[in-house]
Amino acid sequence: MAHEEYTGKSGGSLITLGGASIPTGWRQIVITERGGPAKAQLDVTTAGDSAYTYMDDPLGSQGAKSVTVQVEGLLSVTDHKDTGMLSKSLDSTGVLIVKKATDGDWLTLTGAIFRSHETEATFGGLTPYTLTFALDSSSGVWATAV
Amino acid sequence: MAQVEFTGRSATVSFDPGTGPVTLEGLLSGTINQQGKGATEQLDATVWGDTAYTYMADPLGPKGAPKARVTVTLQDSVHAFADGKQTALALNDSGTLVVDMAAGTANANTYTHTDIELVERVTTIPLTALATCQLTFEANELGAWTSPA
Repeated sequence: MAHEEYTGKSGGSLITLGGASIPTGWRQIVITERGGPAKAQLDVTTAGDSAYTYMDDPLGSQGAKSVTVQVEGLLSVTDHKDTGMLSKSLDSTGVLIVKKATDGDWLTLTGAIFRSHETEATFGGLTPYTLTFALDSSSGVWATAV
Repeated sequence: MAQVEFTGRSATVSFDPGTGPVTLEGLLSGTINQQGKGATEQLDATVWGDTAYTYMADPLGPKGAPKARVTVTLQDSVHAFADGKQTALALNDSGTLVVDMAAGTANANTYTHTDIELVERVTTIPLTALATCQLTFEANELGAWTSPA
């Protein structure tokens, strides 16, 4: 398949949480998936060794996988009606889906937590918002219809 | 040989999680950071009666393991899962990463790391600009630079 370049506009990204569209006016979405770090090196140097000796932690990487999805955009006067996001409670959970296009990739976070909502209204300027969603024990699931 | 300057335009990057190599499409940049163990620690060997501090190199040599971190930034595609498969790669899967400066070119360097993990994937989707996907791989040992010639 040829590489089809992707922008949020041409891809028609759709992001939903528990049935609510999020939100008209978005400008950028950043998905950060983190695995555990590389395996720690355990010091197994013993008396008589002529150099430090290390081995990979046999229990593997420390820490759990996690993911955050940050949505940045511009707020609307009727945001509650437009997106429903302002009616969502912080720390509420739902199924978060970020869809690149109708038959493109999509990321599903089951049990995503609505972690923060930050906005600053200025008298004469547009009002930016930042929404953050997270999963603390999983990196979500990528899938595609293709 | 005269120096042939290198740009990423001729480079390819592939990752094999054990199910066959996957070429990462839409390459924008790749950063290979290799770090050795560092300097040998200086141990304080000052004893009573000395008129100045005295140090000696740690006889066991430097501590720790060398580390490698490879960061690859890709121009994302709508069908990345099917195209470059960067979204199909599982976090913490260990595999073989190959960065080839120019495939099929004599004397072109190739970086091969046979046991390196995908530890982070950051997808940035701007509304009106190209989306990017940044993959970060880490390992506690160094990969090898080789040349086909």
